[in-house]
Amino acid sequence: MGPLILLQEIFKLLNPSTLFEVFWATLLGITVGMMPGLTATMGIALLTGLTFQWATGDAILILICMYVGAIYGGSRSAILINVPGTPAAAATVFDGYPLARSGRAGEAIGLATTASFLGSMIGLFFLSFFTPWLGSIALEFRSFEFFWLSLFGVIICGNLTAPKDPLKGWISGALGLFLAMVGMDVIQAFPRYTGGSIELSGGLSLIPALVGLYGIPEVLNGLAEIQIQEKAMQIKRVIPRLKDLWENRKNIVRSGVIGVIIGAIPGVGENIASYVAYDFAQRGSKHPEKFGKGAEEGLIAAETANNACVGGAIIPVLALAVPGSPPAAVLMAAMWLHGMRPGPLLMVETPNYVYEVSAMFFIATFAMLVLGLSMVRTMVKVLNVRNSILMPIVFILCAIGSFAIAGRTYDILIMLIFGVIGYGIRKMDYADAPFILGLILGDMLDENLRRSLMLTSGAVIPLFTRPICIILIALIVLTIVARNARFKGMMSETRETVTKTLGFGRKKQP
Amino acid sequence: MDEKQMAKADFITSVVMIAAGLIVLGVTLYFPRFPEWGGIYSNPGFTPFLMVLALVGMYLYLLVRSLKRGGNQIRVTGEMVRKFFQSMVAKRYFICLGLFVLYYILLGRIPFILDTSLYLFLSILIFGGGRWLKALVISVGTSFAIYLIFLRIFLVPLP
Repeated sequence: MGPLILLQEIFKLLNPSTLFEVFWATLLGITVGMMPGLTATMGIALLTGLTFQWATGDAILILICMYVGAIYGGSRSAILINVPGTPAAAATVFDGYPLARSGRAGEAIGLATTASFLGSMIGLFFLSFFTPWLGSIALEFRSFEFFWLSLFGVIICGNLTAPKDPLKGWISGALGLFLAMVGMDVIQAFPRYTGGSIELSGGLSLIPALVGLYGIPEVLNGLAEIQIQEKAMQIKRVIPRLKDLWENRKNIVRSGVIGVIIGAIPGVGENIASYVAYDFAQRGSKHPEKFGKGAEEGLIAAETANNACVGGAIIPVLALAVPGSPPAAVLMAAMWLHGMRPGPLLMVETPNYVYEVSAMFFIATFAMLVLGLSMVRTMVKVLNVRNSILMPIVFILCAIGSFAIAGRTYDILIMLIFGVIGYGIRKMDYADAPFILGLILGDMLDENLRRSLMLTSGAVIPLFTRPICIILIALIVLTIVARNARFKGMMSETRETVTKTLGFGRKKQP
Repeated sequence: MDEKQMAKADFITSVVMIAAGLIVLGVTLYFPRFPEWGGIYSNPGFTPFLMVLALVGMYLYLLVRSLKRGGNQIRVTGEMVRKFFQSMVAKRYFICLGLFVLYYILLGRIPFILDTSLYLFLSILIFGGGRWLKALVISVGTSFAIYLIFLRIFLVPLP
């Protein structure tokens, strides 16, 4: 039944006006993605404001196209100028740029495009057919589970996005959670920390805050810090050889699945997915020594994973109302703005919506493939635009995007304040993803904690004894303890003992 | 930032955030109680209180860690302050922020196109190397293009 509905939804989108929208939005996404400093999150946040007046379906379609396009677009600058256009393309640099330097820039772009397409298709498969299943499980969730889920999301996101210092990741998440509580509380409508401001009583405006967090630090970096912009390389052949893809079939499937799984983990995102897939590809390769020197396997793994992650990140948005990555967080905020209610009830109220989103995702992926393979030489010229011209324009777009939602200049002030906060967060090694996730999940955490305690008249036992709660608590404890050096040592000792006892282990690499 | 600088930055941030956290905790204690909704857990300040408490705890840990790394050994001399404000990056950073604020203040007081053109012109002129004619053409052209595209295509109300 599912595949049939998906096909129907795809056919609904196959009309000239929708296709026109899909192509321009994906093209814009690719352009945003390939410009170093402009990220998918920022692109989606900007377009959310700009498409606020549009019909819900059209607006969400545009945002999904931007998401898919921008995550893929990052590979362009990674390959051609050795600078990842988005954090998602950070692992693409390792082999993409050496390939380009050896005169195979076009081939590298072709491989990255095809790998991104295949990754997206793997993501699409899981998005279409896994979300309804997860949604049916999510129907069992009550306030108790949602409280732990939101806490787990912020903790694991802090853990994985701030690998150098998870404490700062957790602080960042807790700050986001706290700031989400500014404004009227959801139960008694009491204005908290507003200082009597009417504008603040509705809470901190989410989209201006997100635009500020992602856009302004990039503008500040681009203008204040003097950077040497590299010229993009020349391109020859773009269409990849089928033989290369066939030889990488296992790598593609493995990286795609890794991308989806990491995407489904709250707030973690595409950059982590591509790093992990790259690492797995190197471990599984017959020629690990070629990695970092222009290995096609490395490029394919990174690009497959980051685009598969997009589909994975939308799964928890639809099923649990918990975003899988920062861009998915903005997408979820956009859905709220347009009156959609992602989460467990979505499967009951509008069961076809998952397929509608999947169809949008499919069309966007197809547009990405066509544009990615056909407009290479023209689009590369964008990379030569100087930061001193581009960044001030980006600032204006950020201001308009923030203003557009409520028509208040006050929101531009919120954007500026969060921009400065975002700049500080980055400079001091606090990850920004947990902060955003905290901002998004704060209300959910507050409402569900208090509601669950009100339901039990203050008894905390049910919070710790319901089966899903126990699983989530165990995951939280494991996430925190796993970063402890003593625990790590204990785990490696256990692994060695098991390996020796059972007489197996990983083959040593030459 | 190297490890020493980071320890110093962590020390200052921790002290500021712990102080701010304690103030917020105090404010939260004065939030109204709603006994008809249940016990202390139903109060609007319940979750924020726990959250700030957790934040203060984490910042205390960060403070102790920064102290162990010598983060409290901060010496600020006039020479250092002068050097900081004379550095190119700091200058550009403050100019950039100043231009943002100028744009925000003028928004709604002068026409959108004029404000946008002025901001773009100054930014391109200052950060782009000083060719005023090029900066003028780009800024005015872009402002008009933005005005038309967003009003006509996106139907976005402009400030």
